[in-house]
Amino acid sequence: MAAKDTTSKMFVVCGRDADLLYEAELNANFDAESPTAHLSHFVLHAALDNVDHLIATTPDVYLRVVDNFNEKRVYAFCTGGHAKFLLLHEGRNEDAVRNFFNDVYDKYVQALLNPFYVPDSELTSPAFDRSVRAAAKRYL
Amino acid sequence: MAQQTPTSNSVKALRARGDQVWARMPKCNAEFFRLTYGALVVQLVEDCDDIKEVNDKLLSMGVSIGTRIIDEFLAKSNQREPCKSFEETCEVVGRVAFKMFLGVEADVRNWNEDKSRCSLVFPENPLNENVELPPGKNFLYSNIICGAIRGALEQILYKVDVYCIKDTLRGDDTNEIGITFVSRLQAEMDDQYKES
Repeated sequence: MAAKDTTSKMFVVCGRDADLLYEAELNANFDAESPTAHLSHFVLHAALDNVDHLIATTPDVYLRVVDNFNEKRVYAFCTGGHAKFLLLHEGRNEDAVRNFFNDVYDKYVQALLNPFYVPDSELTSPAFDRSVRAAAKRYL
Repeated sequence: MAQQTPTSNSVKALRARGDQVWARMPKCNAEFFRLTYGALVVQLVEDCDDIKEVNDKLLSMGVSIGTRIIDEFLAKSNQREPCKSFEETCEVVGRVAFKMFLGVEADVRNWNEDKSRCSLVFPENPLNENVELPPGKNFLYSNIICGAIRGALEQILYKVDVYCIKDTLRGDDTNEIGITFVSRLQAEMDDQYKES
């Protein structure tokens, strides 16, 4: 197994009222025991305010980089139903992230169409989780 | 037994008839259909105390659908003469009726020795798309189809048991519905019409 590292690549889905619906650490080697492990939560949470401001200024669903923290960048995507996708990532390829978001959006819609899923509740679907990780592998 | 088995020829003919009838049926948007059915099931889950009750409700709803659609089926499916055996009836259900009402064809397989039990196998269930069942429950999501088959066959005097065997929602590789022949019913007058 590769050595643990502390580069977090975290993806979260937030609901209409900024509740956390889903989160995934996409870096398989991420060291969850490191002292800075929960830093990504803070950074993402702080970025949410920026997202709310940016949504009002652009008709685009893809908001690109909404916040920086040292090397880390926070990318955001806001769906028509005001669910927000946030990705903490050090990569600088905006198009790759756009593709990733589009793919996840597609899967998110599918999860939403499940009659047993209550909108704005936690996304526990294993199929959604699998597709997010597959999309991350493919694009990021 | 050999001459009783439907030849591939008759399967082909039934399939062609299924396609033909399907082309003439009014269609409805699959997503709309799916979401409506999903909403119905979720409402049932909310209203009922346990999953068994939900399954039973779905079955009885299916039966009432079946008792009605049999007439539509007989009116529109070019079924000119009655089927001669239970086997033929099942073939018609799978090849023509399934195609007509669900848009998918079901393969009739797994006959037992005395031809009283078989399964309808259909890899794609239009009700199932995008659905994920809550884990850990013995949920028969498509029980309404079982009920509809039972109700319809009851109207043509077949008493049958129809039950879910496989469901892709429960992680199986395909959808399978079992039909077991129980008895022939007699066309009888209801008590109130009998002369005392």
